[in-house]
Amino acid sequence: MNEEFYIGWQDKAPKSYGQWVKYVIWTLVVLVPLIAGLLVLSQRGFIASKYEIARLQTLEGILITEPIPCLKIPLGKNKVFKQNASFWEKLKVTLKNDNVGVAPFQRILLVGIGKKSAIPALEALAKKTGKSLTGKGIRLMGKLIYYDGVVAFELGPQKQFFQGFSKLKDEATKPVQLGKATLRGEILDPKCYLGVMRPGEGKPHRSCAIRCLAGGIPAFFKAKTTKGGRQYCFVLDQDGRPINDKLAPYVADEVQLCGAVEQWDNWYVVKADEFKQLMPYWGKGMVMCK
Amino acid sequence: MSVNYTTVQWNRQKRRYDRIMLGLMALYLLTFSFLQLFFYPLISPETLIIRATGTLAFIMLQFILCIGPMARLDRRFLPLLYNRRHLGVTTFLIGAVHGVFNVIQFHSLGYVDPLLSVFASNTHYTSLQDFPFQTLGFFALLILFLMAATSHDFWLKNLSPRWWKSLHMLVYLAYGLLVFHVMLGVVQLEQSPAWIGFVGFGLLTLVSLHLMAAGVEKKRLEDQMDKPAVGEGFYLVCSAEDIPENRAKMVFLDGQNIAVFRYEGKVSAVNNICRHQHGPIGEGKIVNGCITCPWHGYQYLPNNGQSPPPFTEKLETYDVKIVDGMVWVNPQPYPEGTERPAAIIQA
Repeated sequence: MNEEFYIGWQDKAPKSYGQWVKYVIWTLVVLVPLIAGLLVLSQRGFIASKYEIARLQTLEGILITEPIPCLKIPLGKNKVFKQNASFWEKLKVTLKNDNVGVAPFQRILLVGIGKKSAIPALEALAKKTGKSLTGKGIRLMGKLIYYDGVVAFELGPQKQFFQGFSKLKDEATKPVQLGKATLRGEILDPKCYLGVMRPGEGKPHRSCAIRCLAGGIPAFFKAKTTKGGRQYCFVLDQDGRPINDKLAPYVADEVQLCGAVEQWDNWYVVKADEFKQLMPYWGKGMVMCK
Repeated sequence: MSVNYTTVQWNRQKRRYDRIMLGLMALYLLTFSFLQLFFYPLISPETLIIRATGTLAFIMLQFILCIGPMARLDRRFLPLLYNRRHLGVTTFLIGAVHGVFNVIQFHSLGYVDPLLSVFASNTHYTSLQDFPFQTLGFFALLILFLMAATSHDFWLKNLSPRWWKSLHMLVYLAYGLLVFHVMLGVVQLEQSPAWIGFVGFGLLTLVSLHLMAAGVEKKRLEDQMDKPAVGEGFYLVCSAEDIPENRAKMVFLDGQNIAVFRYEGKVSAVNNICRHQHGPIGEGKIVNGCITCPWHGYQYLPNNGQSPPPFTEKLETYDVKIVDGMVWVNPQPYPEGTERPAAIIQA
């Protein structure tokens, strides 16, 4: 019973204690990297989305301010396309127009700095120039965000993003009606998902996506396809207006959307007349659209 | 022990403790980052920082909570307990890096104040699965902050050991909040059995260690209680021979937690609760004539319960007598630091 006794403020620990602590330390030296490895290797991985955070560049196109602010960039036989073929290739954008009646434009979503829509910045610009900007040819400076063939453009600082008007003329394109559909997937904010954050989806990202939708960034839907793939679309209400506030509570959940699907150039837009959460609330089970 | 408060009271063992702690933390962070960048180079720098610091803080807290019961079960773990304070403060700092990066990443640059956004973005407070898990992390970090901020003998003295100890027992609440923070957060994204198993194994280990330590303590208490009383309020404790030299027998008598020490042919009794952090004095040893607490080495004289000058801590003392080689203790306590004559063991 009268064995060695450990006192922390003494210079040296008794031999039996010191030896034991050495065993503990060496065990930890082995365990610590193993735990780190286990946690790293059991992650599901990250998508190859891209946010060119350090590179400001200028894009030229037709500005559309509402309901989803975007830049329509002419394709096909247009000179701009020919000059920028490698640009689209880098963004992995497929330039084939495979739907009848689609005008040769590529739409690029415009977003503001942080968790904010591009609309306030564009409204300020309209006020400053005294012109309605929608449908105008324009050159904008900002940063590219892209993944899976969908491209967004974060406008640069307020005093820099407007680089002047261009001579491009708008060719108003009619949306292609693709009929009613029931879609299943996740509501996201496109800015984070397309590259600002990795991961930019799922439960850990829920609050951020809600904050982005509240800031006016258009609601984005990653729908599951029957072949196990994914298809993206923007979500508006039946009348084509944003419904971010109604969609926000469903962010990051498995959701079913029902509504008319339209194609706006290279974008799909669903005008949702019903959306339901599928599973998360225990005991509720699956809820089908009417 | 110290008479004056100093920011950090360094000594050789603390320095070694901290070096090893920082070395192991660096080993974890480097291994995590290297493997992460090697196998998943697409991870963003912010996510890497958030995940590396979050997992490290959780592991450190888990380890901290295991030290207590491990030291109860095997004294050789006491060196890990001695400087646990530095480990705790460091855990808070790592957790704070995780928390700050999360708030910046997920809640800043919007139209709402980032801290308000933590509580106001996801409002599924009535759902378990969709519960705003970041709020749990926020409150856990707040508890760790309170603990880190008061992890100093100045606060221990001024809050009183009882209140200080109660405050620091909130670490179990913080741990519980963090278990749910992880399970309702990143685990729902990753959905990996390894992550779930990691949290589950840690929880199971922690609960098992505490139950084992509680079992040992319960058995000790059962052995010590219900001693028959005799005249003049004295209770029979044991034979003087049953107490090893310079060690103690711990007993519960009439609601009093008492340590009965044998030394230099004498027996004295003092209160069994150290005035520093409520450590078990009776598991200590008499070193250089002083009872020495096993947790942090606080010392008291056995005959009057006073810390040797210039220190000021004091314990209650009790009357002891030896009759026919048997030790008897009167559990009526004398005020802290009252000198009582030691009972002499007859040859």
